Amino acid sequence: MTTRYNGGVSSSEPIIRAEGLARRYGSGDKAVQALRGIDLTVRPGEVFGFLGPNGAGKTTSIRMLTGQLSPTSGSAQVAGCDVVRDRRELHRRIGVVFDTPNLYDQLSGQQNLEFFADLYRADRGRVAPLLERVGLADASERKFKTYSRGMKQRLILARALLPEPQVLFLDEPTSGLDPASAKSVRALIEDVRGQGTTVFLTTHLMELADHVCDRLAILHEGRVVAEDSPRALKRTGADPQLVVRRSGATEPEVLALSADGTPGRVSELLRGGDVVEVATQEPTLEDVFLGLTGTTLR
Amino acid sequence: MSAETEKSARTEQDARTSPVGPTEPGRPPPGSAGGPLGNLWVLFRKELNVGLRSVSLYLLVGVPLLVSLVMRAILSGEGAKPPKVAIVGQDKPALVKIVKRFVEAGRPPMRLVDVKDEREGRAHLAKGKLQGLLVLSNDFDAKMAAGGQPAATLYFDETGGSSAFTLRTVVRELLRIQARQKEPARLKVRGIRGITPWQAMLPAWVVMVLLSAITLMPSSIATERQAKTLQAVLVTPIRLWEFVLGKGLYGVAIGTVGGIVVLAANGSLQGNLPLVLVCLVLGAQAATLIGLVIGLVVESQQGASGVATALYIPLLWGAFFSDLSGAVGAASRATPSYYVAQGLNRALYSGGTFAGEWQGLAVLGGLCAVLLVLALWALRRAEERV
Repeated sequence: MTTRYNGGVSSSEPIIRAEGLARRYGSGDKAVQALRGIDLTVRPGEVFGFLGPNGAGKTTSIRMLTGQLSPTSGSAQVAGCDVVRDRRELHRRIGVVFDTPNLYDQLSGQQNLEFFADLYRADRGRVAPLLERVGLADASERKFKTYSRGMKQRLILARALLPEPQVLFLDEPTSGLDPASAKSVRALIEDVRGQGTTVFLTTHLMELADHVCDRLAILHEGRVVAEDSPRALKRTGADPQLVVRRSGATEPEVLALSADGTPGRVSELLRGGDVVEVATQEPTLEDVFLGLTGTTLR
Repeated sequence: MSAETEKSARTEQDARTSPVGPTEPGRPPPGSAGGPLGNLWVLFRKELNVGLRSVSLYLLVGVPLLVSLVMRAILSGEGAKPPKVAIVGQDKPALVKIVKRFVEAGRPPMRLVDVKDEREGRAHLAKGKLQGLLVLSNDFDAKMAAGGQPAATLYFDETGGSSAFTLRTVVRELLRIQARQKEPARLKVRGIRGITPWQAMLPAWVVMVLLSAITLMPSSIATERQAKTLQAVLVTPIRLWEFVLGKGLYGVAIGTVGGIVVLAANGSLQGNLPLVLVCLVLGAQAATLIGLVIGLVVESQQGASGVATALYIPLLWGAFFSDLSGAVGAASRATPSYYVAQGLNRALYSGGTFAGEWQGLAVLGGLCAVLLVLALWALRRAEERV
């Protein structure tokens, strides 16, 4: 019993499944292998994150999963549609939030949403409640180009929700936003998750990934190097740390708890007599990423 | 309650309490196919919505309109000059000598010019280069000498006002003198709607408006690429060909309506209006297709605008320089704008018909077909890049 259109997809099946998904740009000596065959499974209702630095292949992945780019090899099904063969049907079932504010500058917020509602054959009556939902009802008559970056991002999110998507794809949704705007976009993502919509997002911001994602895949140089819940990744992907603060030192000394030299170094510091604080610290996703790839997310 | 049923019930509850509401009963689910025509209408309306807010559109249509009105104001006194008249007749009858003598003596107020034959004379008359053409039959002198009524036809520019009246009167008088009898020779007088110099230039300004699609289309596609709005449209159920066709319809509509506005503003919506409309639509279509090919092939905004400008200028030659001899004239006559300008000229001023203009229309139609094939190739290429 359901009132939502689900295109016949059973909720027990993965809503996103990718097998050996790869993409190469160019040919010959100049070819760049952006994605090197990733396998992926996302369950309905999940918030799944792709975490990786710029150039890791996040945008390429999202473009292939949303039918904008054909894979060089491998296959993927999203919301019951093959991303290459069933593009039109796929686009009826998904919403996409891009990393740039791509709406028409000359049109108002309302006109932009009405245009996309018509393209989706969605009821135009959905536009006003969506504008209300993203907090833009008062600015609906203003031209898009007069919106702030945060307002633009919220309007793009509203556009992606027009077709009542089964899966919402977000590419770097808080990139370039001030903290207040980023917070409101994050709240909207959580609101969407609360409605039971599957969310697939890419980000290089570990805080966002840590807070909103049920599961994460860490992407490095076109490969998934780890995949689990943020908590599990932090628990298994990096050692807890020991933070030793000394009087007069500007920065605390951070030591990996399980490293061979740590006990000796701690004894040495304690013998110095100027230690004011010793505490353990949970590793961050940044530490996990560093531990897995040897590079930082920045 | 099983986990599955519980989840389903929760989803239903979510949908009911959703601020945007659940799918209405009996209404197709969001994203259901709406048909290509519906999609085209939505895309066309958006193009209009965005395009009518763009300054470049008003410049591209407004400048030729303004220039046409200025030229009309400047050149409207041209008709006051003595009319140019040509006489054709195979055996150079005596009447020609008399006319020449009269003209050399300064009366009547007209200038004699030479034309090769009746066909050339009528063509010049249609273009406004001549105001009168007297065609004498081959046996004119012989019949006149025998006291008969030889045939003569006077074609004249009936928009010439007083000069046309003078011309008719003078020719009648000359014939009367020549015949040395009370009634003039059997003279048929047939008015041809002639054109003033500003009217002769009007099709060129209309062509300028039609060609605006050559620059509008690539710039519009490149802007959508750059702003990534194209990407946003292509993740909806809309296909690239629908998107491109929506733009094409806008280009044809803007060109056609712009052309009509220029003609109407100059008070020249006259002649064979269906033929005028067909010429406008074919011209706008050719320009739009050229613009779409450029927009689909050249990805950068700068590159697309460079190619469009490089093509726009030589294509405009067809409307302005087709009368020139040599390479420029030949190149001008090979452009679609030449056929559009010629078709418009005849449809507006010299009673052009579909049957009479079939060659020009066929060339334009053929060109549109070739450009359509090119546009489809460019579209396929653009789709493959996705």
